[in-house]
Amino acid sequence: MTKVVNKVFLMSDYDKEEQWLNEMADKGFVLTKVIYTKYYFEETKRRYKVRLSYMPKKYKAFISFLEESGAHYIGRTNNWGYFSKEITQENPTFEIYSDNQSKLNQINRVLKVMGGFTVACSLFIIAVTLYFLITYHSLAGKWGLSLIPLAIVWILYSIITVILIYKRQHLIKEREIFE
Amino acid sequence: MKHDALTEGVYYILLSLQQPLHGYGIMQNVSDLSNGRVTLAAGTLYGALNTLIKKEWIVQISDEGPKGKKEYMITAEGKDVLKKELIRLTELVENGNKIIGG
Repeated sequence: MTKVVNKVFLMSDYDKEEQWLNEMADKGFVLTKVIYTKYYFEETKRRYKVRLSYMPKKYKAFISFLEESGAHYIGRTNNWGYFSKEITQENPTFEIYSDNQSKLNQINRVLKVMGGFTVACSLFIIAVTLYFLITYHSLAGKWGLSLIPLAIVWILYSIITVILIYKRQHLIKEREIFE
Repeated sequence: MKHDALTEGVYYILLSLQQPLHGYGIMQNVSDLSNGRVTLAAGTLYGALNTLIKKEWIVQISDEGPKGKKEYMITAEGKDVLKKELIRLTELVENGNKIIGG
């Protein structure tokens, strides 16, 4: 039986997303496909663990490396790769990252992209605002209103970036004593 | 050259690569060497191998087609790093034994 669920997760909530996917797997629904916010599950009697990874640059090499180690590649959306592996008595767990440094490297890759978006969006808003002020001497009217959706996107990007920075700091703190 | 401490993972990867091994072989070898205490997840190992290749401590020695398993092997520079790390670790253990050990 196939089950389709529509669910939205922020880029910074990848751990919550992973947790939810594993709760579904525990209930007997393993992820088989992801298209943006649409999650496709297949009913199964086997036990699976699902993991997410923000893909490095050469993502094809990364996928085949993980497949060699027995992981199954489900798909990719927004550069997040979804992987699953059957859980058995010999292999009771499945992780993609086992140390602090590689988790930090992953969050740095996400931050680079989200931070870039936030900065680009900020510059665009400043440019548009200046253009209106110079051309129409005001931000009122329908042109000024077009700034509102831009501002909402900017706020969303900023929130995600701040959460990611916070998570990054947490990982760095953990590393101060233990390596 | 200033010598920083290696992580457990890197230390065991370099030890494993005295012989040519592919990714999954390294994961199993590290787990066996440490009696299951150190487990390297595939994504972590992937990142570590790329860093070690960039540092020229290991090389990739085979790539048979797109689906062929890539094998890795330690270089002379890598062996040198490993020897220096062994000296550092021995110092740590000797001092520990001298002061609080039996």
